[in-house]
Order: sequence, then C-alpha cells, then structure tokens
Amino acid sequence: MDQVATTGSEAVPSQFRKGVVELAILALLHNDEAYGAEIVDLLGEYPGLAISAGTAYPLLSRLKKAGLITSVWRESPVGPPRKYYRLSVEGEGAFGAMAKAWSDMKDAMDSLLGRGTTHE
Amino acid sequence: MSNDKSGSVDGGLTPEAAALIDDYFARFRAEAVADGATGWEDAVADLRVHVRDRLEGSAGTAEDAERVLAELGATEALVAACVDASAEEDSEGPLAEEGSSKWTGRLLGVPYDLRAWKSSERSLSRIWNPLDRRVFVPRPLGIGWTINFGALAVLTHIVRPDDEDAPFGAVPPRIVLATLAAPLVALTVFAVLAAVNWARLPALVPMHWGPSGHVDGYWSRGTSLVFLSVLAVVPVVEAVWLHLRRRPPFTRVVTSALSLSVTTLALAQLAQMLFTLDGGTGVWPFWIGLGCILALPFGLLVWVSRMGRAAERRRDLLGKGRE
Repeated sequence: MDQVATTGSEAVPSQFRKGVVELAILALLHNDEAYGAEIVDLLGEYPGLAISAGTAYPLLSRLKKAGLITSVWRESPVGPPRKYYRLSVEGEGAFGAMAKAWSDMKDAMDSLLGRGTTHE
Repeated sequence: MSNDKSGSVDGGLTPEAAALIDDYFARFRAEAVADGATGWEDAVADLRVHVRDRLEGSAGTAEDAERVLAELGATEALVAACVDASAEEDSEGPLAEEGSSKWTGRLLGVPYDLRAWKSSERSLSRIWNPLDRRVFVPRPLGIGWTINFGALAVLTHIVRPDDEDAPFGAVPPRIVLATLAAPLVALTVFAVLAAVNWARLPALVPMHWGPSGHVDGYWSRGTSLVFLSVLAVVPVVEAVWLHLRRRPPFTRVVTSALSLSVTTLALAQLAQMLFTLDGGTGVWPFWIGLGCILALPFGLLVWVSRMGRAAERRRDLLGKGRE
C-alpha cells in the first residue's frame, strides 16, 4: 500500500481509494443509471471521492468485466447518444453485500481510530 | 520451522504436521506453475512465515497444522489470487502498479520490460487502449515507450474512453476484414514504385542521410531493395495470416494498423531514395513518410473504433425501438 493516488486532493493509498470509489460508483448506480461524465460529476460532489475521467472509465470497465454493471446506448436530449451504466442483477447483490461489509468495517474502524485518539 | 522456499521443515512440529505443511505448499507450487502465476515464490515465503507465526504457542501437532492451513484456504484460491495479482501488474490502468516484477521496472527513469512471454499480446493492447490516459506507454518488450493511439484519440476528443464495450468487439466482420486493404494498398504502391524504377537504379543507391540532408550511406541496388521488400512484405503477410486464421477482431485490426505503419516506412525510404536519385535535395519525403507512419494507423484505428461505436448504437437504439 505504498502507491499513492495521483487524483483527488488527498494522499490516500490507491488500493484503498480504488475499493472505496468502486463501492461509491455502485451506490450511485444503485439509485439510478448514469453516463460516464455524469458519474464523474456526481462523485466530484464528494471531495473524498472525486476522481478524474481517466480514473473513472477504467473502473467502470473493471466493474463491467466483473458483471456488476451493464451499459446501454440511449438517445440524449442534447447532443449525440450516450452510454448509460446501471447495476446488473449480480451487481445489486454485490452492492448489498459490499454495503453491509462497509458498514461493519466503518463501525470497527471508528472504534479503532477512536481508541487510537484516546491513547494519544 | 524454516521459511525457505524449498519446503524444508525444522523443529517444533511433529513429523505429521511438517509433512502436511510441505504437502500443502508443494501443491501450491505445482498449481501456480501450471496456471502461469508470477511472484508466487515470494508468496510461498510469506505464507510460510504466516503459518509459523500462527503455530507459535501450539503443540505443533497435525491437528494444529490442519487448522492453520484451513485458515489459509484451498491452494486453488491462493493460486488464483496470485494470478489476479499478476494480471493487475500487467494491466494498463492508471491505478495499476508497475515495476513490481524483477522483469519490469525503470532504469534512470526509462521503463523497461524484459518479459518475452505474451509480449505480442501486450504490444497490441498497448497500441490501442482508450481506457489508459497515457499517450506514451512502456514498450511491451525492451526499453522505452511506445504510442497508445487510443489515449491520443481520447485526448483529441475524437473518441470517448467508453465508446466501445470492448475495443473493436462490435465491429462488423466486413469492416475488420476491410482493414487489411490499407496495408495491401501501401504494399501495392511500394511494389509498383520499385518495379517501375528498378531498371534505372544505379549499382549503388542512397540509403542513409545525415542531419543536413546529404547522403552519407550507399547500399548496393539489390541489397537495398531486398531489405526494403522484406520490411514491406513481412508485416503484411503476418496480418493476412492472422486474418485468415480468424483471430479476434482486436488482434486483426491492430495488426493491420501495425503492418500499414511498417510498410509505409519502407515506402517512405524508397520514395526518399528515388527523390535523391532524381536530384532532389533534403529529406522531406522521408519526413512526410514518418508522419504517415503515425497518421495512417491512427486514422485506421479511429475509423474502426467509430464503426464499433456505431454498431453498438445500432444494437441498443434500434433494438430498443423494436421493443
């Protein structure tokens, strides 16, 4: 975990950040479908999750290869057609499991980090 | 217990426990070799340290060893994890780690890759990868960089990274086959130019030019034409072979583009030679040729990518209309 992410404002180890951002993308697509640039914009609203387009598309490709999301071209009200992403059935299941795991980890980490603060 | 890679064991364990552990890692090694995983030697060393740590304080019986090995899981799963890690190293994604293998890395800031295995597959995937934002990517074999035309197309807003689900995957077969026409046309032009001018070529022909544009190297007529012909023909023959063998569309399209590039190089050299023999000064024909070496395959790859995007749109938009 010595590689540091080059995107975003925080020096978060990339493997850690990549896992979190993947979950964030699944969470976005759990609610609604979205196209690539839209996903980048939506994540940009959360400073800790902001990623560039150069990072977003490889992640989307990885999720698609894993069968967690699907894509489809749709007509756009403005401009040419866009490729929209959405969760697959498999992705819905994976998202539920990952969200649960995240919740458990979050509680554990909050406890652990709180303990560290207490020791200081 | 030692943590060397040979699988030897030492004190603190019953013979049965040691045999279990040795058997486990022997199976791990055999499966890793069979699956082509890389970096598993280090994984074995780390896992043996882990097993030793977990057994500390126990009686070191066969039951203890079984319990710790069960925690590690099936050897197949561990090997799969090693294979995944290898694939991660090979990927071109911006978040992928580079240079963690002893065969790849950087020397004075210049990337090198000495992995001869699968170099042709890496070569093709690095020439067109719109998902990788780097225009200059490490050479698939050797030292230095090569051009990722896919990143160049994204950078110039000609294509978007996700225009195609898989590069050239949805391109109609007739378009894939049509890419072969480009290098064949270049080869035909080369052949006609060489045949028409063969008789008037002198015994020694210019083959190398200095920075100022003056000739500083001559070859015999026969040698130079054989050299240029091989340079022009071999890549095209390889491309034709791959098309005839019905290789995946991506392989065929990129090979067509590569053969077009190399054949254009031979054509540019021949044109420069004829230009000099006709009394021309300078090396601008060769520079134009060098520009074509990059521009023609770039144009071909972009065109095919757009055909793939159009095919995907037809599939999704017209399909929806029918529904």
